[in-house]
Amino acid sequence: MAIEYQKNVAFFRDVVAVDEAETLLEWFQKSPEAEIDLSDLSHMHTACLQVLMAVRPVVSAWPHDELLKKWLQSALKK
Amino acid sequence: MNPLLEQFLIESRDFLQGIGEKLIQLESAPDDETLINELFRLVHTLKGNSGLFDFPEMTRVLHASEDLLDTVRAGRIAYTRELADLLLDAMDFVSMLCDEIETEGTIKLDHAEQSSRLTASIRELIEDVDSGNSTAEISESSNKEEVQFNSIEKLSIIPDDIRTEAYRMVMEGKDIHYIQYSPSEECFYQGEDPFYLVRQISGLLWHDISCRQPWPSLQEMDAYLCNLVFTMLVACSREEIAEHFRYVMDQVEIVALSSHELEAISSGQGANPFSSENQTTEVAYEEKSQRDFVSLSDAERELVKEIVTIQHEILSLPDDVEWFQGRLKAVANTLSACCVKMGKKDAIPELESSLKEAISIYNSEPLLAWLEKHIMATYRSEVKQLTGKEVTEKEIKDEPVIQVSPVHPQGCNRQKEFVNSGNKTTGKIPAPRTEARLASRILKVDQRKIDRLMNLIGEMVVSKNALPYLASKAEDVYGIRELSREIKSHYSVINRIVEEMQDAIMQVRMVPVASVFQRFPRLVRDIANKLCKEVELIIEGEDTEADKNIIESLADPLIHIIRNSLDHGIEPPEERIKAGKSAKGRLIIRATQESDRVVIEISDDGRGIDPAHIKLKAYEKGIIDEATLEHITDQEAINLIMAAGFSTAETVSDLSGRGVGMDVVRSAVEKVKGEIQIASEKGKGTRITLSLPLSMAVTNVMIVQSDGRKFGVPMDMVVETVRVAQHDVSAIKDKKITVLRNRVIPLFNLNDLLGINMPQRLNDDGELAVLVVKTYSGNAGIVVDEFYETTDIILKPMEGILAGIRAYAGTALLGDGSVLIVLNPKELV
Repeated sequence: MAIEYQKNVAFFRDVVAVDEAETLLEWFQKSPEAEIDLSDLSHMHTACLQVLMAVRPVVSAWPHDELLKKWLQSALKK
Repeated sequence: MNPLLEQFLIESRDFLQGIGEKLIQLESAPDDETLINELFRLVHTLKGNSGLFDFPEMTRVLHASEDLLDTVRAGRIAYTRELADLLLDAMDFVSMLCDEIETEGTIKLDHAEQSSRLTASIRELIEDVDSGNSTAEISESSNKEEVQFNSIEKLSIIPDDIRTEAYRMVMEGKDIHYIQYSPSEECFYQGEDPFYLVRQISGLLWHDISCRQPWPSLQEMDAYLCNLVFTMLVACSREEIAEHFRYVMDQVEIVALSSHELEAISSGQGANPFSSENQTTEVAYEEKSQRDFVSLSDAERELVKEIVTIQHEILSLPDDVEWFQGRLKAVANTLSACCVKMGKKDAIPELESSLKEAISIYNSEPLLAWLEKHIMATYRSEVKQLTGKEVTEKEIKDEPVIQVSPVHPQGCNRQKEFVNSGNKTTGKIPAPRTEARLASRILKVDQRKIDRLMNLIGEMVVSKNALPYLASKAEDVYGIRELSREIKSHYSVINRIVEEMQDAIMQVRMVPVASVFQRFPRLVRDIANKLCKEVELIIEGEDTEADKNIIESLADPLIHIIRNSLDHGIEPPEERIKAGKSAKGRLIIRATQESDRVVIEISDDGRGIDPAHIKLKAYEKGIIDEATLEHITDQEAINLIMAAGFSTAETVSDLSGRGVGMDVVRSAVEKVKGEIQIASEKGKGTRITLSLPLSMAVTNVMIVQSDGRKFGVPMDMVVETVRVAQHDVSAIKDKKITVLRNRVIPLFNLNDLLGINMPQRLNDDGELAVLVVKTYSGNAGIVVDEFYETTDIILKPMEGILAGIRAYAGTALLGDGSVLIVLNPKELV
């Protein structure tokens, strides 16, 4: 799995594909206060991205990839 | 090219042809449901097929067309000429893409925009209907402006530093585009990942992701309904962007930004343009001023000089005043502004450091030194230099900036494009290639392969004919009767096979004239529309078949003739009514087969050709001399229109009148051994008859003998061969006749016809050998001495002086190396 769900943090790794979106949304529906760790993320499908945009979770770590970080910040940091 | 794509292209042409035909048929029967359904099905299938390949430009246009037709089918929009024009345009575009795919293997990037433009126009028609506006007006340009206006508003969220950077790039002549990409809601189901797509774009200056609709509560949210909007500012060309987003062009809005717009945002925010806090504006102001410098008049330049001189005086004043610091800043500001006006922006940083230094040491000296170094020195060495070379360079450099314009003028020209659509058929968008159509149901073979086969079979035919001679030689010369018999039996086998082969290849090459004719309804419609004439086109004998090469060679001459007829022949409706004709002109294209020729007749009921006018024109143009002018007959005069360089039109239109038309037609027809005849009656109309051979390859002839000489008679003219007893020949006046199956057949002696002073020989039973042939005036019998076998020959027409002897169809080489003269019985009798 590209997303590892721990108790209150979801770790995003490598490429998060479109089929993760549903699970991700369900997870957030159960634990709306959860945080996300994106440090090892290299790409996230738009569907997952929009889940994150709707949820606005606390981002405990941004991706190492600078460009991706900028993109995600423009979407999630408003 | 892979076989699937090849198949697709061939099928697409079929479909396009069908679509084009239906579109035009629908114009005269707009309520025909079957037609609309068929049309819809064609477009639908074509769209589906195109989806198999990587041609988003094509699929998009077809999809929109399909939707439009669906609206028509549902009766929500009337089928109008505008609608037809639009769809025809769209199909031309698709057809052009097909051609391009065939030649280039792919679609060029620059078509992406045309594709979205067409799609937008078609969608607009549908939307107009949906919004209850059935008048369906095309107002693309106004739409565009709106887009532009909106994006200016949107630009204001871009941070200042990025906008400043963008502004600088625009001033340097780079393309800056604002992109707003709103993926469709269902895009995830189509396997799209918009985020991935936007991440890949190059030249990204700024980006933002936002939501289209406010987010619903988490419980209600559908993760697979895309609600995102991506906005970007990128420094790359429109083509690159179009290429990047080629699959989703309809969801992308691209606006080219000009310096003006980048400026406009800032002032729109109400910021003071002179405030240094607002960098964009300041830079904008400077850059603009710098550009303006080129337009400074001499008087203005004098004023600048005066201002600078005053600053010099101020700086020379005693420094011991309490407003000293303010004074220095004011002077520096003024000088900075002057620098910009004078195109000396480079000196500004130094001015700023001089200012700081001056303030810190409380002395005007650093500024004075700067002034001396940068401006006063220049003044001394003459102001003129500034206006000279340096300035022109600036001007050139600035040029591209001026061209950066967000408005796309193509949109406004739609109407014009319609007007020119007649031209387009042969011009911009190549006419759909239709020749492949007839082979499509069976097997697609490269024409070259068939041509090669054809040539080989042609050789085979001739060499096979050598066998009978070999057989008789074996018997007569070498006295080996057995061998002769064996050769003969082999010959009959080979002969049968070769004949079948030949027949088969001819079948393959035969195509109906329809393949050329089918493009005429569209052509006539477009030209007539353009000329504001009403024309009814009647096509007859489309099934007449002829060799592919012949049919193809017909296409261009026919188009020329049709254009001429429409342009010069058929009069405008008012003129026709005045002349007592119906307002609607009539153009008839008729194809018939006449023995070994295919005859195509193009007739109109227009104003006809005035021989007197032609004579005069030809004389004026130096085509005929005075003596000829005197004695030339009317028919000869009419034939003059086929002379090179002849044109009667007073003005050259883009349709005809350049004086190359009929000349080209004649040479094209003669190239395939065809003939052209013109008959015209002033005020009544013109009829042009093209007569072409059915095939240029092998001819089957019967060999006959008369006075010891052998002649060939084309088999397709031979009705039968009979032996007529002498007592069955009677005479009506001095003409000999015989009665054959209760019909009177006139008899002619071949020797008499050819001017040979010998009676025809009888056979041992005292019978005449009569060859019954078809002629213009029914069947006729030609009396010869002896019949021989039929043979296949490659007929070579008579050349040079002999070409004028119409009694001979041509000559051929026989298997034994002798030359056979082939008769043309029609001309003979």
